[in-house]
Amino acid sequence: MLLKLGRFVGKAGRCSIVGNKSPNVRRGYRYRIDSLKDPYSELSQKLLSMGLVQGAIIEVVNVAPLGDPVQIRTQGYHVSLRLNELFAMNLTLMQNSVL
Amino acid sequence: MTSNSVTRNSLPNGSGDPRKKPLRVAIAGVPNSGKTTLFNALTGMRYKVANYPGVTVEKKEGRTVLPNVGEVIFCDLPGTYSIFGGSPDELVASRFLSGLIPSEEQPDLIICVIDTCNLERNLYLASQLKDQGRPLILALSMNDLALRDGIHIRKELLARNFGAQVVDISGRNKTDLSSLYASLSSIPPTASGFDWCLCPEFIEHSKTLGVRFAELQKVSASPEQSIVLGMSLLTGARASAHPALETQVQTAREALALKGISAGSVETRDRYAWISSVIAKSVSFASAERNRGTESVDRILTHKLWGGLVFLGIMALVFQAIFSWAEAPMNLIDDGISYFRSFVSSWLPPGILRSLIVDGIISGVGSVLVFVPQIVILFFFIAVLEESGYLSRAAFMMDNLMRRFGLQGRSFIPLLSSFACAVPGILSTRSIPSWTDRMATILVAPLMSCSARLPVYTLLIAAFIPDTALLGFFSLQGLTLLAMYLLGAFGAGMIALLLKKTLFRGSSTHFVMEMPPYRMPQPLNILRTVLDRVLLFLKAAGTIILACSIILWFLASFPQREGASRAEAVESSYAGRLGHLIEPVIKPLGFDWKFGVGIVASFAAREVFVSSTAMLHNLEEEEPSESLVLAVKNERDPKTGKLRYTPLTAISLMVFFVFSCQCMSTLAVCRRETGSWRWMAFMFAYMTAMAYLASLATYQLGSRLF
Repeated sequence: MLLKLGRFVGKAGRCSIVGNKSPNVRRGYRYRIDSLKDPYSELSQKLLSMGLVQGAIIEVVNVAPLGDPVQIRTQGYHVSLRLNELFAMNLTLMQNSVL
Repeated sequence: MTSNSVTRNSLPNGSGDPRKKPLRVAIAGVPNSGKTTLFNALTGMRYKVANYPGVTVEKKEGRTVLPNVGEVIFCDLPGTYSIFGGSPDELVASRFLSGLIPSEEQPDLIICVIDTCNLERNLYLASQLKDQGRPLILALSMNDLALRDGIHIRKELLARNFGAQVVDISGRNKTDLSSLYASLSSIPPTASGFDWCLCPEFIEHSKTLGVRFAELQKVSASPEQSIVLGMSLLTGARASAHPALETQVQTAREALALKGISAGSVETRDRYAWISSVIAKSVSFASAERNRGTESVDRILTHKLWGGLVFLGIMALVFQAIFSWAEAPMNLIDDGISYFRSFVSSWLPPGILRSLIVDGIISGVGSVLVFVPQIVILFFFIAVLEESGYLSRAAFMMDNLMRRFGLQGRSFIPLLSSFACAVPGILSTRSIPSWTDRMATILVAPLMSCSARLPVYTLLIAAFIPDTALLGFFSLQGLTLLAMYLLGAFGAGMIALLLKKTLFRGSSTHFVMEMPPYRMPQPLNILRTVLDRVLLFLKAAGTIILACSIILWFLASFPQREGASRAEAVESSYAGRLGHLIEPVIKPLGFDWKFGVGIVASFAAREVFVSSTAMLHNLEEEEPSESLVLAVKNERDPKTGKLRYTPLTAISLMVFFVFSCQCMSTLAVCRRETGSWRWMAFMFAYMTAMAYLASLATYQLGSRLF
């Protein structure tokens, strides 16, 4: 019974964390923000107010122990966000990123 | 009502004209900008904290008298990244500035604190404040750090290009208020807004929508305020809740889209573009490398292995501090209370009044006061971790794990603190912006076994769990204690997950969190934070504990019996009768009426279980001692002569204590932080139900299996 419970917890958690098709994000990756997927959503408003606007360059400087969330640097300050929040923006991976 | 377009060009003098109104100044700024430091420096200890009417947003106000200015009232607005949005903090900030909060007067002047290491984002908020069309001063903080990073701000150029007065308040160790004081002596002209906007159509549509919105809300808004209202609707920062207006908003968005303007992002994009040009004209950058120091530290502190170890180390230190450093002051307070009790006893004639005061009031309130040192230490450490910036790193590391249980990273420290005491834990949930996450954290916080449960566990384990070692190494008693703690944490996780899937289903929560650079905590800020929170605790908990102590005293002391022993007196009192009354209900849990009395009594404060059990065995104990342990262990059923309690009974009782909500202070603070009695009632109800069911399951299954 305990095993079943464990699987339930893991599944519940995993479903809400990251979609299975999320690309791998590593330290040193640099992106340019092209646009927001849904400019009117609450999340977008939050991202915008934090300075994550069209044309901004962000760099991933740190990744949490389990891969999510990530810490990015933009315009001199740091913001941490979950991968699904990061990919709520349309991003272009920049050429000279550390790969 | 106050007029919306106050322009004070005359110099208020400080010669004490009683009819002169005090100057009202609002202090705004993004979180971590140094706004609170400024407020503390301006007001010292002359401040008061309350809530804005109808919301659980904190309001801080302080007064001071300045030469050449007269009396000044400073109002610290909630720290927000923008004042456009619909979150409670942003709504309160924007309404306060427009004079729309009924009990608050509109401020005469706004000071916006600007963290010079983060110019773009701070000026973003400042530009929104400028739109309001009120007198505005930009106060530059942390300029010394910015200079070190190579950022050189030319104040006059910034003032001219931005369009507001600029003063520097940075100081190496202390805030430098001289230039701010100087600028307060003559009100700057009102700032004119919207010069950042490159699309006149956007402004036009905003104005129309804003005017309509103001009409629907039945408020009178100045032209600037209408435009601001309209912009917040058009960008989607706020929803209007008027269907007709929503359609209008949609039409406006489509009209703008036809012209190639995306209403959702144009405002932010144009603002940042304007801010970039302002910065380019007013600030010079010596080097492009900023914030590298913080990053290298972060790489260690958030590292899987090293970060985890550092974290465990810090947590171990905090708990060690709480349990060992607090011991001396706690004993001191304990002794002080005992002394006070005997003093009052000797002073008053024996009788009901003396009993009420000594056994009821002083004991009851004293049992709360004894915990104050632990709470102070806990608040102190949380404040230091918060000020230094480490708290956000802890949230960052724990977010993934917490999400598996329906919570988020920022819930971690509040829940961890609840292992010492749930009250500071619940108070520190203020850092969680998402309402549902915050509620979930508050509701499960009491399940983390707090230090008040420890005397109960200690007594029962010592009496009923054999002192043997499992595998020759692990003490069975220690393992039982650990099991109780783990059970509480596990229960919290399950309940949070359940809440997420039922009550809080479908609500959106965001993690997006700024990670400020590491900073030295400011002593004055720490002092005031700790003081504020301790006073809050004493006020919320103290009153309710006092009431409960008196009620309990009454239940346990009446009706009186002459010549009866202590135990007999308690048995025939209302409390004893209550114990007998609930006996059939608690029998399936393995308890008898004596435990029933203890459980009823401990609903005021958990530690009372020990002292009430002692009373029933004719002892004067307040803590688990040898004699009490033996008395409880050897308790025999008068009818059968067999031992009444078994280890299973003890475990069942401990399980009951793990899950039940027996702390009036926690309920009081819960009510205060959630702003309603409903959630407090819910917390009590679900925990009591859980305690009963868990205890039932434990005892029934246990008696079948063993």
